[in-house]
Amino acid sequence: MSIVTETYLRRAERDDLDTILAWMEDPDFQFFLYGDAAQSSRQTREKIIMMLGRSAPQSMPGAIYLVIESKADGLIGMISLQNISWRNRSCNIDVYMGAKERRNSMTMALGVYRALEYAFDELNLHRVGAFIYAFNRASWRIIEKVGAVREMTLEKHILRDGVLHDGYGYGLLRDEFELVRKRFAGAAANASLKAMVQFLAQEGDNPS
Amino acid sequence: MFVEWLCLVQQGLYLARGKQRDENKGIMITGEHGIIRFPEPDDALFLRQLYVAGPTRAALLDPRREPLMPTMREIREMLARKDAAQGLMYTVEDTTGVLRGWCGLRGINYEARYAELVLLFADETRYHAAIADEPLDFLLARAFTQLRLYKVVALCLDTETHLSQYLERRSFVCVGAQRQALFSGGAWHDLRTYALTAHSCAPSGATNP
Repeated sequence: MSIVTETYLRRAERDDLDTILAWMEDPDFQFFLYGDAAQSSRQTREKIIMMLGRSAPQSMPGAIYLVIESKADGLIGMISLQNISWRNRSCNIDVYMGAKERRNSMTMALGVYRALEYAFDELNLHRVGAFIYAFNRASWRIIEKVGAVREMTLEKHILRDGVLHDGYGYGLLRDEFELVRKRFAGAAANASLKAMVQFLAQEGDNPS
Repeated sequence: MFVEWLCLVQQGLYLARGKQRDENKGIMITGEHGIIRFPEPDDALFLRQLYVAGPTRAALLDPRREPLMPTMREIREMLARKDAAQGLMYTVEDTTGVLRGWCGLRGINYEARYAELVLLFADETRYHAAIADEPLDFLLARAFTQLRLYKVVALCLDTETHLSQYLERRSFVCVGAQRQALFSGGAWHDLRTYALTAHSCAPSGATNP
């Protein structure tokens, strides 16, 4: 239910300064609000001027860049979590594999899986989205493998070599990732490495 | 005598204002149901009301899909920025000069030939009135005829039912929804994307502004 009134909240700005400074002349202002004996009225005044002139705080990063590294080969790829919204608890994921031979490999799939674990378990995000070009089959196959849903198809949206290609929008919610994690955990509990490899190979043949 | 003098003064002020608009802004399109013109600094208060006092609108979200709470200064800066300066954002007035909405094209991708279309009315029921058709026709003509774009997309929250109905009535097709992309009012909301291509664009039949 929303309450409709004539009043609303907005960010204070420099234009409001005169009004607020006038309020400060009222003894109630210091009594009920800023009556710190350790601060002179001038200090309080300067503090308020600074507060009104300051832009919104950005203490949490808008993007986090991760790299995929191999002990043998060094850096092989990069995963970026971009457009992080701490309010909506969401971000977009981009993956780039510098090592071309790994682009269709389990390395990339595991890298994405670990990045999603980081996004959901550490950053406490609720949704991870991805926008992938239709011709980048390896990428959207991997993102589907980890449970993301193709939510949107934008036809003829990306120009490459004079040709317009489709773009796919994917979304993965926390609950959906939990289901995938349970499924993989079940596979890992299957004891042997051989059984796990067989399970993953089977999964690769039968995409969900 | 005094009344005549007052009328002359008012007429002079009106003409001066109109002339100033023409010189400074260069455009003011009068339709049968409304006026489409470049935004002016005086519109900032109206825009702030849209941001802070109305329901959450997809067109007012930032790139992270977060609602903004801009100050007057930030809105004025926004009005002076690229899209507004290039003549792609417009204010919509009714025939009596009352500000009713805001519209425009933004994020134009000239390579892939698409842009995001924004059409916003303070009173959402106006999407069902003729005042909505004139700015939309104007924007579509600008997008498909003047800028030769292939497609326009429009974003719409699941709560913006009037807007989504209007877009569908105007041949926009929903190409998908980002599920639970916005948290607002204590609930998750989906963000729908609508698209309209040049070849599927049909005129409204409203008076061409």
